[in-house]
Amino acid sequence: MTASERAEIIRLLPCYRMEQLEPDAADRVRRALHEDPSLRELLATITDAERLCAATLRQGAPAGLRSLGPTPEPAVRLGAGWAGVSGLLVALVLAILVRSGQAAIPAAGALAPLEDLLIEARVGGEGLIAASTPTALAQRLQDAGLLPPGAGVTDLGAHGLVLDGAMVQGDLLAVVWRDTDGGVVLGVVGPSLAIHRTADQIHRPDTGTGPVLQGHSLQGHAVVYWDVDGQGCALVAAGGLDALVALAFRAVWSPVG
Amino acid sequence: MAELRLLPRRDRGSGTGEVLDLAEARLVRRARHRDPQALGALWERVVDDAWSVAIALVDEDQAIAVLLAAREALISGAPGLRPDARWVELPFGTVFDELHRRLELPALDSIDGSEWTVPGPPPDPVAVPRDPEAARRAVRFAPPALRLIYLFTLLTPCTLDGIARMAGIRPSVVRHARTAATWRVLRELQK
Repeated sequence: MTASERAEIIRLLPCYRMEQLEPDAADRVRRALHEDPSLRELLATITDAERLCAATLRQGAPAGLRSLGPTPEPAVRLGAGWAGVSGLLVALVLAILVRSGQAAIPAAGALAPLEDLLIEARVGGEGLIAASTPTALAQRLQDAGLLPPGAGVTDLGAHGLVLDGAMVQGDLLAVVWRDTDGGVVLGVVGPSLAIHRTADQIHRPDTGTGPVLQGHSLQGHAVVYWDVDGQGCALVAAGGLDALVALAFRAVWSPVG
Repeated sequence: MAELRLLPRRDRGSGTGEVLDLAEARLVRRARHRDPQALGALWERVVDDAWSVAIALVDEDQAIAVLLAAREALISGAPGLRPDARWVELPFGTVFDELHRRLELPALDSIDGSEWTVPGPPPDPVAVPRDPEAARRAVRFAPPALRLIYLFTLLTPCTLDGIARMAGIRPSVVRHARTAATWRVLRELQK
């Protein structure tokens, strides 16, 4: 290590300690620390000094500041955010309603747990029940008593999605798929377990009274929710509502060959 | 359930490479709907750090005013938070702005990074005395603008990139400032 390289490493040490360096710079520091014991000593000195300063300066805030204080009246009640769709989304939903021939609207609050599931799937929640094929997943879920014997998991692989597994939260079971860009698609089963039905069992559109699709925005994601014979299920995915509606139609309403 | 294989937590989420805290993500989601409990829980996560920074730089009355402004910023700004936003920058951005204003500091982007350089060799790797009063004095020794940035790096969960955004300067300047402040503090402690 040259003198100038060493000087540069020394300059980087305070930020290295805080894990605030770019990866390549952090690698250089790590290698230098491995080679040079005096650099390790200096890093230890910096660490001691900063721990002392932080411990000295840290203070608990006065009690009066800890509480939130008077909170402004909520403009949107918790759980009712689902109803706050934009004019465009309203138009899309209405178009869907017209297309499906029904006008029932499920309770918006019923969709709130989906958001938790979506977050959990995005961050790689620890509760993922991994399986690479719908058949294997269905078997695991049946073994765990989460699916009735003989029930299956709808295969969305033909739509370019890759199965990740399933997640359970409360009385919801979500089958987690990923698109090629890493986006998440959840096939969510309500307490009545609708998603395990195969496409031709759910509904055939030739009856003229197809199920109602509801569309909602969801933190940069879209959710399509529907109800068949009192059994709720939904798809949630990153991206726009129209694309998800198209996927739902293809996945669920296309005749099975 | 015995045959279920539960996978360890893994980062596969936002594409930013940042590991997300699931519990925190849920709190932020609820806070966006103005859930008072969630807002309170988020505030609880930052209030002590915010107070520590403020009280190290201004008197108690001003520190209280700074925190009230930060709390209001969290309450009023939470509904507009993007899902991938670092929510801590909401209250701490206000703390930074308020302290910057109350300390009557110049615009930090006008400061040449070289002004924050400590001339001479880096400190020696010798042990520092375990003296809290010396530590207070050492931190006070740094110029106010440098101290502001140093305390943010030392006491808050803000990233250097986040502090750079708050300060309106490049991240490299924040790193430079942190190094300069560290050297000053070390030298003072070793006197």
